[in-house]
Amino acid sequence: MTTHLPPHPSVRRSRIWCVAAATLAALTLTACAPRGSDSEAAAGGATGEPVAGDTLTVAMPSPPTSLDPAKNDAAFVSYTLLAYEPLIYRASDGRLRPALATSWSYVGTGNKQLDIELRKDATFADGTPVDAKAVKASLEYVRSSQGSSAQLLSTVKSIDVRGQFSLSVKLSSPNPMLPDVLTQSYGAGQIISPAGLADPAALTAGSKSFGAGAYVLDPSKTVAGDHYTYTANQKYFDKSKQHYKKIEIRVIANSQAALNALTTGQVDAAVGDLTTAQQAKSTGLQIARIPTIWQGLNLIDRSGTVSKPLGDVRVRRAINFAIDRSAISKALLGDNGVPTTQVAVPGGDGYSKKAAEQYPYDPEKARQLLAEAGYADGFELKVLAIKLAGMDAVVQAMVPQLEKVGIKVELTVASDAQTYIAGASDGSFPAVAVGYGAQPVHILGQGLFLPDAPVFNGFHSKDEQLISLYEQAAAAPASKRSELDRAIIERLTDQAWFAPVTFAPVFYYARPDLGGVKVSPDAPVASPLDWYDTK
Amino acid sequence: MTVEIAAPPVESETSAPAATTREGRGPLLSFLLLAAGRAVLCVLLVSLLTFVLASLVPGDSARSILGVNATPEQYAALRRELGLDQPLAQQYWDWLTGALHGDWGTSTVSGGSVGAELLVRGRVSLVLVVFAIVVAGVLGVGLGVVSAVRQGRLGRFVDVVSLIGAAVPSYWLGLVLAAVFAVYLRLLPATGYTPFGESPVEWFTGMILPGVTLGLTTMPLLAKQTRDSVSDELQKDYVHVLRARGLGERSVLLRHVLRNAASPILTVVGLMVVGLLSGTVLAETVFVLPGLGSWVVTATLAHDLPVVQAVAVCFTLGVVLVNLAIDAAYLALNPRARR
Repeated sequence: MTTHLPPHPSVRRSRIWCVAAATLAALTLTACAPRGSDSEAAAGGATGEPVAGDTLTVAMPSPPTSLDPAKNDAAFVSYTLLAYEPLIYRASDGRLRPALATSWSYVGTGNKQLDIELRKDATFADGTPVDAKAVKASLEYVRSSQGSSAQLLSTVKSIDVRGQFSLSVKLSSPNPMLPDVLTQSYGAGQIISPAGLADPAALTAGSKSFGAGAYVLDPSKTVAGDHYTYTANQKYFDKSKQHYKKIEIRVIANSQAALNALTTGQVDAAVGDLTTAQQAKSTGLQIARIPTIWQGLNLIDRSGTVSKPLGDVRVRRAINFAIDRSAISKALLGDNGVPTTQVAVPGGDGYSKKAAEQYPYDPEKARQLLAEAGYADGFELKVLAIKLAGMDAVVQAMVPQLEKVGIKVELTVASDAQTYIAGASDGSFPAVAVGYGAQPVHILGQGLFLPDAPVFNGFHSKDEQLISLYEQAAAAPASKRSELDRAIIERLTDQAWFAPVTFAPVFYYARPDLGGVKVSPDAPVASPLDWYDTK
Repeated sequence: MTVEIAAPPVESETSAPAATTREGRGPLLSFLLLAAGRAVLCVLLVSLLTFVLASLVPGDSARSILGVNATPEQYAALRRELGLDQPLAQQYWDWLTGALHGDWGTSTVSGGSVGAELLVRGRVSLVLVVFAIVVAGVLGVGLGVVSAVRQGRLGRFVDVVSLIGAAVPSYWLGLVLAAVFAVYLRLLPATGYTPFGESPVEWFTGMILPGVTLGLTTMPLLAKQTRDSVSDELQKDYVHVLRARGLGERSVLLRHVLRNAASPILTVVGLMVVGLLSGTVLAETVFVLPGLGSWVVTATLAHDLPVVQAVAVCFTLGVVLVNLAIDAAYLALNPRARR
């Protein structure tokens, strides 16, 4: 699941930039729900009794990339989840709950077949039943579409209809996270009706919604890019989940304008960012936040192809020892950041106490390691950053600390995602700045550390031990997986593939009496379906 | 009362359309033909320029839609689907022939018809610009005339306001006005647009803050120009003659001085309206109006070329039409230009 990165104050140079940050961040960076138990969330939540509400108005910083669930970027999933019921629903505490599917389980060993039972009383908004055939057609459409969810289903070998309401999804390689992929957090799990699949133009243009969700899009009260209106679906199977007659999402790119709209009662909840967090707190709004996007350096040239020193693990470790994470986090994010030495969020899947203690700030140790590796006089390191959501600020803050131990950083700052992607993947930079959402380790691997990860493993580094652990975890039963995921994070941290600095938060603001506004390490992106009025 | 005094010469800053008149053709016709020719050329050039510049910006809409984690095959397939793999000249030609037939294409991001949305959003921007012109016009001309007549402190006040106005960014002014009138006093809505058909009252109150923001930032220029032009006119002999003939001060000012001072003021109004068009980008972002300005920002970031093209052509047409109207107004105001 992708999420909006809050633009950092130090890069708040122009409003246009802020709009750019909101959009680009959402488009380029991926954040997803890590699994875990305890919560870092400073979650609010009204305590009054739930009552039926009339209209819920929510402000989002960017419009969706598409109203077709298969093509919409997961950052904008709120726009489609209201109208398209998922197979499985991820609640705000991160637990998976039945939605169109009443039950699901892996069959046999190795997480290669997921059997799904569907509820029998669900229909699409047009009245056609949601049966196994319709679900199969929708999943196959997502898999063959050119959308951002397609790769999540790329290992699906076949979908077998076993009965009117039962189906099996068979995989070519183990994937323990398939139930997560089938939640509302991704477009893949949001089921599209046969009528929608038969009319791709209307599906893409969003002239109508084709789901079985709690709400339907009202095109007559929607202006693309400005506001989207959803009215309660009369045919929805569980009326108790329709907390409102109408939900409106308004696109407000400027976070100050969003806060103004919230303060004056024009909207009930909004996605916030660092620039307005303090003000939101002082005006008595409810704030739910969770540190979830790790920022720092991705030391991609791990075999020393263009930067020989980086090929030596001692040098990569030296970089990790040279960083004063607390100071950088405090300076850039105040109390909102969580300094980190690993890419797993505290309380999330794979989080390791051992990894957390591996690299205390120790410049002396860094110099010593560099000397052992033969770089007592230091070396020059080319780094690519991007002017986006504070990612360049984090790297800029690292530069003097690295110079203190003798590593001279030659920093290039790209101003757009395309240049950044090219530089990160064509081998011209041995290290790149990164901002990446915490994710379950299995999904993290596909985007971040497996040899074929498209952007963030630019030199296709391969570590046999890591791959072996990853394969074991992928095929392991749930009870054994968390231990293996932790071992993967420990291996990544020990081999110093990255130099993470801090976790930046995602914010939600809401009026004080709105209920259900919560986020957790398991569900950092809130769903408006969970929110309700209180008295 | 008729006064036979000839109007003093007016320094026309137009391209003197009257001069291009040939025998057999009315000055108006040749003026219109020339203007139309220039307009077409201008729109063509701007659309071509936008196209070329947009293609030079790194990235494309396929990348915007897919995000970074898509495979190269997915990326290539979507580029094909969107026609982005065609040569640039071909893409431009396809767009141009479509646009000439009234088909503005579909947004590569939302898949919606650009033409249909252009109408919806164009209306919002037009209303915003009209509100701003009314605010800037009434305040600018009013302040300018009053300070020219009274001179002294008021004149200096207008100068100071002009300087401040030129220095204050409309974005900042918008946020301050919203903080005071919407958040603190709760008099006006902080954001959003209500269509006139839905609620005329909300439509009006919703446009006040954006209109005033945009109007106030352009007003000082107009006030200063009005003050200077009216002051100049007031020094001229014909004013003394008119007064000597017993004409009332109000009549001298409104019927004669303002009319003669109007040409340079009109030039400023022209510049102002062009500035207002680009000002809509910020005002619409701050007050969250679904107009052309906010649309072009999101479209540019998403490399949504059909939308960027359409808005660029719209704004160009706006500028061309405003210039045309100003030229026509010169003709109407200045009898010499008609000869």
